[in-house]
Amino acid sequence: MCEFSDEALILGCRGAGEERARALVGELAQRHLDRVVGFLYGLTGDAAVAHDLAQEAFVRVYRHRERYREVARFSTWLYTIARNLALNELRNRQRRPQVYGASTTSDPALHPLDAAPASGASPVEAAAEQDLQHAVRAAVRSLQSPYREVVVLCDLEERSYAEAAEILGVPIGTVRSRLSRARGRLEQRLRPLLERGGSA
Amino acid sequence: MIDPRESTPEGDAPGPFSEELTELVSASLDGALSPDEEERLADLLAQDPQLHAYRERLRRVKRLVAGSAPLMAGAPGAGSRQDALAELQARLARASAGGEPGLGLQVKLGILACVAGLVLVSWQVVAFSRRLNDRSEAAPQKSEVSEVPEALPDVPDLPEEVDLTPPEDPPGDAPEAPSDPELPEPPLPDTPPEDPQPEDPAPKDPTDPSDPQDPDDEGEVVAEVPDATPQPGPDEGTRVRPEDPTPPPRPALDLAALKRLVAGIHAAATPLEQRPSLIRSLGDPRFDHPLAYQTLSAILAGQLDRSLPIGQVEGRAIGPEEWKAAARLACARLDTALAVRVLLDSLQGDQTSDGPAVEAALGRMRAPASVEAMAQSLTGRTTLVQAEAALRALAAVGDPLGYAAVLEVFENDRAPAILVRQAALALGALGNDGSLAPLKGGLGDKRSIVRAGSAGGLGRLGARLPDCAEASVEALAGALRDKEFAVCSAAAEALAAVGEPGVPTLIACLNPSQEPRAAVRDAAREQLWLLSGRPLADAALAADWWREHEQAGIPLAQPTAVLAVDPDQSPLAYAGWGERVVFMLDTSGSMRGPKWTQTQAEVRRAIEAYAARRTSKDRAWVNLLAFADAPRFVRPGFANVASRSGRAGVLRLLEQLKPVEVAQTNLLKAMQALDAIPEVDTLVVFSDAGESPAALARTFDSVRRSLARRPLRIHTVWLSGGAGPLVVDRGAGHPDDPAGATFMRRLARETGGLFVRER
Repeated sequence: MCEFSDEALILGCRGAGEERARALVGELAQRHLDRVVGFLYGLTGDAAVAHDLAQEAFVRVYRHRERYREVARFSTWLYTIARNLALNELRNRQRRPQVYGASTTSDPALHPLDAAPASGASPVEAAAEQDLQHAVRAAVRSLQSPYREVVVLCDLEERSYAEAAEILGVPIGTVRSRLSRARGRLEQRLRPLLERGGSA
Repeated sequence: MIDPRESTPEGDAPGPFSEELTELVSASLDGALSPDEEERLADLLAQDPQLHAYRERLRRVKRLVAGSAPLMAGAPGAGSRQDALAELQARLARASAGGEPGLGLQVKLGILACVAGLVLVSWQVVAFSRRLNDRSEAAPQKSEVSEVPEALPDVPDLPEEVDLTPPEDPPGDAPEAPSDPELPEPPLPDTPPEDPQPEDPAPKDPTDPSDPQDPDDEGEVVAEVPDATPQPGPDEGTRVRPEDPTPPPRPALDLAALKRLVAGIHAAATPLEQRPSLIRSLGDPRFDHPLAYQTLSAILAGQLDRSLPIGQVEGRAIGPEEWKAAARLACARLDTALAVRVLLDSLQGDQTSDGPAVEAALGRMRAPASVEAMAQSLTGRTTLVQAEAALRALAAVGDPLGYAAVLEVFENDRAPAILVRQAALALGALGNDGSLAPLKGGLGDKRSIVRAGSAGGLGRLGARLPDCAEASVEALAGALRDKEFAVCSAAAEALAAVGEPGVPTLIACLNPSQEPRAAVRDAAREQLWLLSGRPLADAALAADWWREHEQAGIPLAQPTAVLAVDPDQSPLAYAGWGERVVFMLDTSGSMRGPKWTQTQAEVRRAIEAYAARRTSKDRAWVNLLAFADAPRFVRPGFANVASRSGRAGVLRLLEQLKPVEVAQTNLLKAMQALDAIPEVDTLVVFSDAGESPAALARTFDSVRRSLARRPLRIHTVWLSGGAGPLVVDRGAGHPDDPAGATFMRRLARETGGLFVRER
């Protein structure tokens, strides 16, 4: 089963029975769930929300499986859906009152006992590493949504400018300029760490 | 010119630099700068240490962000991955009308996994049945096949029905018959006479890119003549396929033997080295049955990969690649429409690196039904990779039956450029004079890839049909004036392919008053060098040679396979150089010692030879791309080596380069790094190509994909020991060549470049 491409699997859903379509989307989830969660976590900064939205993204894939067109890679389509869900979530979050700590308690960086220490690192080094990771994530989260998206796509997901542009629905030049600004802001915010550390 | 201190409003560009400048710096971290931008940035970085420091900080930021990627792992409150997937299945079930939310999660998962597996297996069987029905006319000998598609034996169950004793002697691995009477006879006597490959009961599969003994991706026998000058065929000038002699009768189906064979293939107890032979035996014409196709399809789809043991026999790996190679060969030997379909269907999804091997297998098929199936695949629903494979195969087969379909692709305005290019080359190879007008029209296409392909097609056509030679040369002379160097280069190569009628045009092109562009003159000079075996530096020398040749009244010889080079000169001294050249240098650990010494010396000589052919007014942009595990440009921008200072700077950087002891070769990443610089028109690769055959196959495929976006000429220098003198090799290679040499040769041939190796 794993030998089929993503596109073959989603195309296989067309006209398929409900059960078969569920199995095929389940296989796609096996392949992509982790990365989609990571992507959504990067956008929302909340692990629980990211998990929930990732599942919702696959439910949307399942519901709209007939709409997939071969002009785009499946993963691009999936990430576009996931991104739209994340944007909706962020929009809704602004409208509703924020539960104190709801977004931060789910950050693994705030749970040093749960986080896996770097192999061979001393406790002090591990703590410093976690501080650094936390600061980076906080800096990424503090970016405005358009900038955070390109950072997550290009630097975290290591997607090309062209793929990011396709997912975001903007020209490649926009991706390039947004990424430049985003990195510039991250550089400003992380400068004390960069100057102090050196281990980065 | 950017003022590095120009500030933009607060918030848009952090720091003291302008927004445009920060964008340049940021994009440089992703290798997303154009050559001009790279040069500009390099200048600015050299002038401003603060900018340099800023770039380093951005680089660290990028690394830090990338380092925080594993976000999913250990996320509290998220539960396990299995739980997440199970929850998803529950949501999917709720989303559909037929959900079963009452079932336990584990049970549901198990059921769904089983259902998915069964669904896909049955899906394949049904698809086969449909194809059988669709093609029953094309393969009339399969009458009994079409009667039983729904009742196909289930392959995994077969071992229970038959004797699973592994054969003592593998059919096909040795000339003698198998000692186990339960196993089928080797297919030797049943080979159709039209099969171009002499039968060998233990053939090394030439369709497999991973097989170092594969002589050529087009299935040619080892020859001294490059395929740029195809020989006129017996059916030249014909529009209609000659009447076929009555095909030899197919032997009767031997289903019992086929079942035993399939059982042997699936039996875990079968010795490792025998399984490929058993798979090859499926190509016996007696086994023209859905069970054989189903088994071959499963092998090519990798469905056996997990269930069967793999290992090494006498240092040779036996596993999925070996099985696939055997399956492709079996398809080629079956030579039926269904076998074509099985091969094309194997090019699904990410398995694109199998393309060359599938093309080679298709190119061996000669049966009219097979050719028609390839042609039909071009007009039906097909993927780009499949269509490309079919086009290349049709060109290799050269059967006029494929002409109409190929022409349709060529004239299809919506077809991707790479397909149209391939169709142009196929039209030329098919040798139909009706192709002349469309190919001439193709020279006016707005896509340079199509124009270059049309030029190649005209060259093949002119070589194949003497009546078309003059018209082809006339059109190609016009193509030499194309604004794109790649098209000019393809036109020069095509003129050489036409032979005598094309030579005067090439000689005229050497004259600076007629052709002011040095790069185009280089392209013509290279072809004349390859035709004559002499370094014809200018038009006067070339005219003298041509006069001598005509007076002697001897037909122009085919280019020799190996061109010895003056040891004092670079083997690339007369190569065609473009205007923007990248030298890609392998700095992996295996290049240390004499190989690296030779690399540095040869690159130096090549750069000096290139510079010597340019005046200071010409453009001669060069950069060095060092690659091992990862590629990196040695200079941030290109240097004009036509100027003394530019040349000295590049050579100085070259001297500083050293191989990295622990680094591995990764040609694929290096090739992909070039994608960011579409202006590069010439690449020179120095490497021992010390990668696995599978990795080399992926790289080769990647290069072919990138040719869809832009034409690129690649000269390759394969270094085996670093001691011998270098020669230019235009031959088709030898079956015993190492995989690295075969890869480098194919890379050069695919792009019209030169392959250089040690003598």
